[in-house]
Amino acid sequence: MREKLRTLIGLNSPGRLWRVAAALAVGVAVVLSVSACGSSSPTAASGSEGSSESIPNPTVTIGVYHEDLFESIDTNLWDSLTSVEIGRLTCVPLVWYPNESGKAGEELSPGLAEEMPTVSSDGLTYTFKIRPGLEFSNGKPLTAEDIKYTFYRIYKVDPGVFLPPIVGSQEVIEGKANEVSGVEAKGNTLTIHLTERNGAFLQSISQAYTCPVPRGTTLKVDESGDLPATGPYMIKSYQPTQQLVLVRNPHFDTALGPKGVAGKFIFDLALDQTQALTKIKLGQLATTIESLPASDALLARNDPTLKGHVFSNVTSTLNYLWMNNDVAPFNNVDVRKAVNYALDRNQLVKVSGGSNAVESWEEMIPPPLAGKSKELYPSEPELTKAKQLMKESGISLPVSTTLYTPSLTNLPLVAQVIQQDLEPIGIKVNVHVASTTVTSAYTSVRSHHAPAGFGAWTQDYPDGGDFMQLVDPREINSDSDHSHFNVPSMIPKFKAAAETSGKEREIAYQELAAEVQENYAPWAPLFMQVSTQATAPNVTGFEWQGAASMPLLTSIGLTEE
Amino acid sequence: MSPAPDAQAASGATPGLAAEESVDLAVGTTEVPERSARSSGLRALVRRNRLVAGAGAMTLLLLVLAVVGGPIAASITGHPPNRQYDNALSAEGVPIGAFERTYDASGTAHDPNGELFVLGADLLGRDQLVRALYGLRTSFTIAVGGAILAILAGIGLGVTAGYFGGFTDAVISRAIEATLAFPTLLLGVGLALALGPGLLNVILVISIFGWYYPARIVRSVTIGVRNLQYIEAATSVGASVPRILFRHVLPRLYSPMLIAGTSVVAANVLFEAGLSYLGLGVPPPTATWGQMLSDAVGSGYYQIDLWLAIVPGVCLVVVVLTLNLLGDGLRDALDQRDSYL
Repeated sequence: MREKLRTLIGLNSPGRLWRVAAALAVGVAVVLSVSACGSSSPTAASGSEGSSESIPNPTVTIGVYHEDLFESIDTNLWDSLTSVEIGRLTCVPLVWYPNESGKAGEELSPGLAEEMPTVSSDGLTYTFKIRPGLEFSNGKPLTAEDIKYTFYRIYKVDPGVFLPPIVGSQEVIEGKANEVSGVEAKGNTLTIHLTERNGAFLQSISQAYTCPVPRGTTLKVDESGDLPATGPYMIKSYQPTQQLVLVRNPHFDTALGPKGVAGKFIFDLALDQTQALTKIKLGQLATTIESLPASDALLARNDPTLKGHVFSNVTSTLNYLWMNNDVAPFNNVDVRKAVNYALDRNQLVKVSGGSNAVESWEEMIPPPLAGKSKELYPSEPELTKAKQLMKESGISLPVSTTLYTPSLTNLPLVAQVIQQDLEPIGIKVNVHVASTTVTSAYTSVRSHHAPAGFGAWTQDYPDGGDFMQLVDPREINSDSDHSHFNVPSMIPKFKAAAETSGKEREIAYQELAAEVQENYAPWAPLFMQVSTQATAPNVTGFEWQGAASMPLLTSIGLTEE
Repeated sequence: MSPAPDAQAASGATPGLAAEESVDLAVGTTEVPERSARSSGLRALVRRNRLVAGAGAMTLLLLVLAVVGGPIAASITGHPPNRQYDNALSAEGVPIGAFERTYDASGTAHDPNGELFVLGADLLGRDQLVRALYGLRTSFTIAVGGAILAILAGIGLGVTAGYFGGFTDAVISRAIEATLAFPTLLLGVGLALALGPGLLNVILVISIFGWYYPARIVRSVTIGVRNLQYIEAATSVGASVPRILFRHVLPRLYSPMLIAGTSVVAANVLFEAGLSYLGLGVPPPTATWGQMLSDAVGSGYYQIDLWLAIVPGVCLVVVVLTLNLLGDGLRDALDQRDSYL
């Protein structure tokens, strides 16, 4: 039988061996070519040039990568990229960054409150006037009492919620009280008392997880999607990991913001990111919440059928290299500074997918918040300075260390660039690649003494303090950052910055970030992520919400093809 | 058990220590024509079956390339295997393709005086030709290392099971069956995760899942040999078990282990590529084909630059095909050799 088969495929003829090998090689190439062409071949979707009139109340389908599913359909738990985006459609909190692009969307503005609250002179009491005549999407009136109840519910469903301490919140968390004593409702007036001054309180209550729910709503996590909305849309149906459908909220007060162009949103919750571009080109998706993969972003950029339908925006996600300040060789500040000087950040941009995917960045807080501070560390390596710092560090060279690297997207490649960059200054980097879960589990245990790894932080709201809290020495035991920056003399400065607000706060954190990075360099900031989205050829109105750092879905519409 | 009458007659020896030597001589006399037949048989078969000659020559070439190919290519091109050339990537991070020169300062056009990359660059701007050749070395080191360990373990366990039989055989046979029942790659991934990355760890993981195949063959051959009369004769004249095993059993394993070895090495090449593809192989920056494929496919850049996937893909196909053809040819050749005996 074997001989028969060999004769059949010609293996008994020696000259044919090479032909078979060559044929197999060509076969592999053809298969790869076909799969490669799959995402760049022309589709039936027409270009925007041929588009005509806008479709009234269109149904817009948005892709959500299945690995980025939100944590729950319960609004009081929403804190991920996807849920925050959906929250911008279904929820208006007391104050918020409105559904507007440009500067208008980056200013903290009244939401359910008539105007920005009055703040007591000690900064501990905030008084809001709730807009009259507001209703939930189920037609029930929305009052200050509902918002008071909402704060109680937030602490019940998520005791670890990221909120500045409100008077009485701890008692609720501990089960000793059935209301938050520091939140008072009288008529349309809502008063909130804090236990300590916090300059970011208003930003923190602008988040989707503070979205009001009616009094009496279950204190258990809702998994049905039945909680009524306050935003321009409400949940019509929800199939976990499959689909979420939003329709217009008939009780939405347009005084709160734009009602949105789409009549209905369908969120495809099971999208494979490698299929996103193909589906967009076929018109099966209007766009995606998250960025296209770097390679697809590049393909989309160079695709004539998508001309004018590809958008890149710098997000508020900062990627950085953390260096464990407790572990050699990074317990030496000169070594940490030398690393910052030795890195070729422009090369890091290239291997991460170029300008469609990342933007070089060297500071601890992102571009709009960092202001025009002086350049602390270079984009191009300054090896002379780096070597000098290594010499001044006094450690014997070469020195070995381990860089824990999650096998996530481009990070193993980034790690190898860092490996090459640090070799000339005498640091031999062993790149340890493992899954994100394994890497995270290992590096987060302090006793493992992991010397270095990768961190990424996306802002909750536009505030330097949101980034600097990662290295706040008062939070030394938090899991958020593994650099374990702990300089007691800096504590008063962190405390003082946290109490400021407004423009004063902006400047305070710019100065604090510059001081920490210049004098202590607990991290080597690497780059900001860029979000590149493509829209289907018949999609109009793609805009960017800068404060949320995500697409503004309320402006998206469709035209007749 | 008394020596076989024909062995005693052939040697004319008296029982005792001298008798054992005589038995060896007797076996030796039968081996003279065997060796001769083997030599002439092999030559004849190589002449007749040029597949063996072709695959053998190709395997030899691959071995030579694995040893010296990488350094020679690095020397000729001037591109060390781990050196990242930033001008081998465009401004958007797209590596240069095969037979292309590096980019100019703008990162958008090729520099006519730039360096030539015969098989293009990878996603870090490293020379793919040089890395593919170094990858061959990594691949062979792991595959052959794993095969040697697996075969040694397989021979040890297979001979023990086959020669002693009974309870020992039952235990080892059940262990073989249990290992066969495991989902190899899945457990390999788990074990690789537990042991951590590293060349020796990968070899260990691969050998742990490779021993049962040679062990089964060895057990069968040993059972067959154990019942032959000259073994009984050697036993009866007081030959020790190790002596019997080393003088009479192990030499019979030469052919089957040679054939099994090629199959095990080919399988190990793929296993190693699979582990590296999943990020569980040799840590970076060591070149491995699995990692090269993983980078190309995982990043999606193979859609823009096909060479990223073609180079490691074709390397894997060529090596595995060559080894399988060699094993197939050797099986034919050595099976026919057995017919001479």
